[in-house]
Amino acid sequence: MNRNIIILIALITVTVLYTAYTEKMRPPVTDALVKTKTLTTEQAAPDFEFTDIKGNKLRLSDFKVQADIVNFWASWCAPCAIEFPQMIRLAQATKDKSVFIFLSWDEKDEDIARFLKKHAPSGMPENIVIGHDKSRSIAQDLFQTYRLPETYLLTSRLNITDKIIGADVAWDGEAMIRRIQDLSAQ
Amino acid sequence: MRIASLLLIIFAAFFAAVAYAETPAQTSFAYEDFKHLPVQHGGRIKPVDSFARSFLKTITGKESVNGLDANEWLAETLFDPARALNRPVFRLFTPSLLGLSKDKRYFSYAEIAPALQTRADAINKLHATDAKNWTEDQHELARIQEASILYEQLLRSFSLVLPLNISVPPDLAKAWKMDASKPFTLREYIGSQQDLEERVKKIVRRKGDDVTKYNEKEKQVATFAFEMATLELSGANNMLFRVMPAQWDSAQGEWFSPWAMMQSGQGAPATAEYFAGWEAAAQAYNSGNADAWNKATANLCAQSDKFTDSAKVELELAYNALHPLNLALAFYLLSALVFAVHAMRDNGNSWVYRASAVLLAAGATAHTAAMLMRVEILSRPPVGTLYESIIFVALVCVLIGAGWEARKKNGSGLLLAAVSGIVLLCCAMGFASEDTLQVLVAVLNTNFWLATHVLCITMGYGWCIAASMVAHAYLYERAKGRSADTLFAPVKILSLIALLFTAVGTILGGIWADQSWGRFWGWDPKENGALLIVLWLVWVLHARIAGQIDRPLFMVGIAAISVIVALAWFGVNLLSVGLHSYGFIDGIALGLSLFCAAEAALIGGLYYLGRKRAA
Repeated sequence: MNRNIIILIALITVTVLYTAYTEKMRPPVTDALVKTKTLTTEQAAPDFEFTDIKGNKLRLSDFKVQADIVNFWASWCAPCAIEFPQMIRLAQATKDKSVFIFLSWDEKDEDIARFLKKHAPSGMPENIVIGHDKSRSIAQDLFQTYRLPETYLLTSRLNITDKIIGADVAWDGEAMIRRIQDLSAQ
Repeated sequence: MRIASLLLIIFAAFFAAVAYAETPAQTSFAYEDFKHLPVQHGGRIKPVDSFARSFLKTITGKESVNGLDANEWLAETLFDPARALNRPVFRLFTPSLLGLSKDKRYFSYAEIAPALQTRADAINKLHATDAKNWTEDQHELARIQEASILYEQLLRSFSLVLPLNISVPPDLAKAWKMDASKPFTLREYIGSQQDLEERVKKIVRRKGDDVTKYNEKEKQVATFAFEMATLELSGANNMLFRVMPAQWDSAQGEWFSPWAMMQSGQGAPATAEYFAGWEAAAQAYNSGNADAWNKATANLCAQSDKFTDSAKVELELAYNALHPLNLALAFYLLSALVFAVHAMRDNGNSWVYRASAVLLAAGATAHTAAMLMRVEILSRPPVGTLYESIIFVALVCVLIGAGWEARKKNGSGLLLAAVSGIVLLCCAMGFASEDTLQVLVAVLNTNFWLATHVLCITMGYGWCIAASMVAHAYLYERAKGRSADTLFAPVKILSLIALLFTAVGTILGGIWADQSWGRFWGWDPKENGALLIVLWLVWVLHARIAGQIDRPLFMVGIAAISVIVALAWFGVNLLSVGLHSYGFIDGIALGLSLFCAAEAALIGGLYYLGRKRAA
């Protein structure tokens, strides 16, 4: 009988130890496979080359000092027209801390020029670069962006931290200004 | 339903036109890498192999079809939907329900979709009623419809990147700078969608919505826009094949199908590359290019290591390939057979007996390995579903029998282990289709209580069954006129241990209920069932200790615990009430009734015969 009691105690001990072990094990999907293995919050932005509207060849890595805001847009995209003036104000408010790279899907330069004239009549701050992505290869193949507008916020080390879909954001609000300032310090 | 079917027919027509006349040479396509790829399904990440097997089993009832294994079948369904449409994969038990030929058992989607279409109203009305009141035919109809909806989703999973047989109006092709050498796909179109919408709006603003007023070019643009919108609609809500890993916190760990990834804007640079890999694999398969397919899947497999625990994937693939529970069952059967030979020869501790013991040990090893693999794959204790409880109780019984045999060495423990292993595993196999190594419903998803309450109570079931089996043996021996008093002490010990586990398990269950539901006891059917086992054991044991019943009646009481356990274990799920009603119930009512009746007759009969002999 004593032996049976020992077996029972051993069984209970094993159960308790096993429980302690399983409590440490993470449940499937929610933790183990996502938080530790995938880049859910920050990943390096792919470096890409583009041509700005002045014809200069540039690379994303040329802007590795400030926070970078990469925005995909087009002149025919209505939400882009809504957010563009707000983003100009944001660019002005964070002049020394950020660079805004607007990559347009427009085919014709005159469409871009007309858009800029309409939505930035008094010109643009120096920390804004307007570039082309006519083939959409940067947007689709590198960033998986298929709809406009989409904006990626990058730290000064060119790590992506946020993706903002659509224009439903107060771009020139205090919160966004603080966010860009934070990113420039990272 | 009608809209869905209409869309599918249009969708099929577009893809059918680009289907290749020749079957891709299946033998040259390698599926080793493809089956490793991770997919989120049933709340967890699993290899494509598991997804393919469980899905194919759902619709065909088996893990291969027409000479294609599950992975080959899945690849065809995903990447060559036009061919897959005509492959007979739907197993219909009553084809006449859909007006289809009774001579066949398997039908293609192309056959059942139009038939379901004609019964759409009836199906819609059926879904408005309570499923509890459905006839068997109505259940079958609902099953076919559900399977067809899921199959439809699979067929469309990669429609985004498969070549379309649609000619793009020259003006648009020029404006979008399309590469004529590349096949036109919906993915190409999605990026130009807003531009197309603007163009159509301009036409409508200029000329209204009367197409007859449009010139030829405008008509082409309007027609193209309609075709593309229709095709895009066919991809809407396509959520089934979630192979794109979550990248953003907002996704909360949820993976996305290719369509959902694109439509929800959940893509990121890390998934862009991975998606390109899937696109390459899809197009390689669709064009019958085995080399490109093999390279694309190998590349995908290498990339997927970033998103998953590859050791777990390997383990699950091994589990799928080895079928360790089938192996265990085979060993138990062999052990029982060899033991029967030994019993007939009756020559003591012969090599035949030792062979039987070795086979039993092999079965127990495979059985234990299966349970451990499941624990690792699911990252939770081994018992969470009714199916799992059966295989766990089977293992408990086998180990009890093996332990007893190690001590007594007279074959009785061996017989107990082999018979309980065979019976319970066969019983579990009957419900194996329910087993998809699934994640648990929220109420169960806590490792602490699964490892304490659930394991304790199911171990209690195992000890109860072992006690009951030995009590049966006692009654049998007595009915044959032989003395079986040596079995009295083991039965008493087994029933005391059973009482310990079930009582502790029941109390732990109460504590869990108090934490989860805010009350210790709620007279829930499952709680009542567990209590019934405890009360029954307490009653029978006390009655014997107090001398109120003699040994044979005590044995009758312990033998009958199998009925009490069966009712508590399976019966309560049949009631479909209470907080514990998450087990499967289909098809067990008759089996349970027959088991109870057979047990009552057997125990009663043996007791009567024994009493007659004694008299």
